[in-house]
Amino acid sequence: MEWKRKKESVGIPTTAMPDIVFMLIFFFMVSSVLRTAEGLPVNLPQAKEIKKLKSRVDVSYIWVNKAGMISFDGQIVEPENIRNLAFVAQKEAQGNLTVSLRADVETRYEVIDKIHHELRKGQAFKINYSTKSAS
Amino acid sequence: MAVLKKKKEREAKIPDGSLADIAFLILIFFMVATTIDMDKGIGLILPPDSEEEVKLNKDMITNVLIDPKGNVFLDGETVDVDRVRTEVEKLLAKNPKMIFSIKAHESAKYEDYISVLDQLKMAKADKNISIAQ
Repeated sequence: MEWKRKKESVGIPTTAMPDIVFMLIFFFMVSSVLRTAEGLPVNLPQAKEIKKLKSRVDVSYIWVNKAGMISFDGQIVEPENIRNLAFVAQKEAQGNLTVSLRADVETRYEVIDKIHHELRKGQAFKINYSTKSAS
Repeated sequence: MAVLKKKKEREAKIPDGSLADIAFLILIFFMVATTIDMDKGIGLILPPDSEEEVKLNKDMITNVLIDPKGNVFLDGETVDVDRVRTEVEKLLAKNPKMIFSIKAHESAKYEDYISVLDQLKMAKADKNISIAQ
């Protein structure tokens, strides 16, 4: 007597694929932070001993160009106003503010020193000098 | 009299065969548009803004001066920028609590300041950096 074997289908089930793909989409949509504020054109210096900034949340960006023009989170400011802006940003970040300083290689130290001073007045102590990685 | 034919019921279904394709398309868009490269840089904690000055013994401090031309002086002696690391390592070996006070001329370049800071970081002098005002 012969047994008739049923043929087993060997296809990969694809019905749940859209669900998985949508899940991935949502992940990427939520995790991507779109940059809103852009700054000034700068040529960043190079350094070897660099660290990555942990996140884009609670970060204020200060841009300084060659001429010493300063932009704080996309807004052109006078050096004297940094302390207030930094203080407000620090408050919003609940004390975890990191200031990312993106200054041009040609910037005079005078300007940087002024920014240091203002940031200290504004209670923003954590600073990150943005650099390119030297190869 | 002709009998009216009963209308055939139309099937009303949204075709979902290409749903996965569309979803993939959006997924790929977001994957490409997401910038993963984080900001990189040299981290530093500025000292708190207090009026009182901490008095330190003179031989606990090494002055790191930067002039407008980018020359670096360690306690008055001119040092090549690339040699700052080794010199600082030597000083730290002698006295691990040595403070390195960076003073740059007001028209010194930011680039030179960063290179010196980088050298100090490489010499593991993170905790010993002070920025003179």
